[in-house]
Amino acid sequence: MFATDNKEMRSSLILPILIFNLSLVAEGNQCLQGSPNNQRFKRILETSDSYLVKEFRASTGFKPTQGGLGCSGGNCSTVTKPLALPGAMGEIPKECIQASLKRKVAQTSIECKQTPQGNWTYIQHSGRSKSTPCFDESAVDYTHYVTNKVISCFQGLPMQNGVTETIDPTVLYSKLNNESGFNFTYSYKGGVGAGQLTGWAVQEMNVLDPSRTKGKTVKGGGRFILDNILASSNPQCAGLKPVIENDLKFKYHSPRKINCEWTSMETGLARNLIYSIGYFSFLKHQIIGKELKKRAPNAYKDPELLNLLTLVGYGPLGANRALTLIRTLGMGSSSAYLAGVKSRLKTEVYLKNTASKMNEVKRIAGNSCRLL
Amino acid sequence: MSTALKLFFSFALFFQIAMANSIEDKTNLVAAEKEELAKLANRSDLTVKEWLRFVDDIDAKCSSETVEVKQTAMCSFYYEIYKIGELFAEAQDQKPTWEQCMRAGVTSDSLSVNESTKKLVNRIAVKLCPKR
Repeated sequence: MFATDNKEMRSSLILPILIFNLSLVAEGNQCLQGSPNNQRFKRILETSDSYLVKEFRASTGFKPTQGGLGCSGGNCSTVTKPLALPGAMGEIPKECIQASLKRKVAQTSIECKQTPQGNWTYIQHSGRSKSTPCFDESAVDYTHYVTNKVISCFQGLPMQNGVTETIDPTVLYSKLNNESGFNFTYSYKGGVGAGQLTGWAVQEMNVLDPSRTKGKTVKGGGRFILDNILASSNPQCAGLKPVIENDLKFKYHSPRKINCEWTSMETGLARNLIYSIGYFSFLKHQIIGKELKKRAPNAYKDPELLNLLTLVGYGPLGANRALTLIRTLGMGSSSAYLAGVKSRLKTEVYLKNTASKMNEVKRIAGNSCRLL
Repeated sequence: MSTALKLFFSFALFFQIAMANSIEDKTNLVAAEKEELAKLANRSDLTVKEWLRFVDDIDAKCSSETVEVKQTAMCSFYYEIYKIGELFAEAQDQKPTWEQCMRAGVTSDSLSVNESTKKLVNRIAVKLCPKR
């Protein structure tokens, strides 16, 4: 009798103990980055009145989630709901973003908080801080949603000279993985947020620093890209318009001074991606592409070459280096010659760093990220 | 101080001097052109035509240089100055507007890799561009 009672007691205890242990594992896995005690992102996604967050909640059927990401053993695969964005080939898959966020990057991050009056306050966390906001599955979903929304808005967007934009998701993924690993809160004096924006990029994309223009509003060379987004009939651009429609009024957004404009979850992530991808397009078409077309019209028709040169433009010597390489490497038109040029470009500092960080992600993601 | 430590500091110093010389060498590869740029920047009667001739001359040197390291230095120098040249070349007979000058100035500054070149190009832009 006693033996039977013990057996029954043991059986009745197994389930609660198992659930308790599973909850511990889930708790441990809950955050890709940050502390489980800091649920700022979850609160924003549940309660924010920001247009983009509301749209995210409505279009993805967002419900507060609990538990982990199932991102263990080198496999970050999770069930991903399709977001019904146009042009599935133009998407960065959620698994890839998740794997990037698992990369360890020790950088200062900004935790933004909006007051009821709409002003920003923020806490600055050091690279070693253990109390940054938790990047759980819902935060990854939102990052995935906003990133692909911006990409979809850019696909087919008119540039100048009669060209329309085509974003290669692998190129963009490698750039964002290299810049911030999709942690949109990262900020230091050399760059801010998801795309690690610089002052130059912000001036080109919006308005020039008023200290240069004696206070007069002068649009930058890439401002037409924001204007084209505002005028676009692409439904994917609709949710982005409220983010940038008042940017001209800001005069000059210095990414060094008003960090939450570039790093907040509500609008900073989207604004940062719009400006970063916009600046990439600006460099690609208006600076590097324009020169490549002039010097080597046949090479200009090779989109991979143009993307590689544009990525070089993000390296330590900037676009000057990319332009110099157009001249010093020579740009023959045969495919064998261009293949040699591409191999040479891949030895440039920024591209080597990008490749090494892509390898890091490959190790983390296993086979779950189809871009790798 | 131990011998190993002394050796380490000697190597570090040697490496630092070698690096400084290497940077200096690269700068010297375009020293004559920079000197010419400085002369243009100091001229009060500089014309658009003269400026465009100088930019075209550097462009040609960038194309014709056969020594790789010299070509890299020359072409890099060309791209530090070319935006302010392109601005006037594209405007042709008409002068660019003040806004166009300001816009090209930002792009030109972002393409600069040398602070002194940037300052000289800015001085030339101020001379040739319309006042606000």
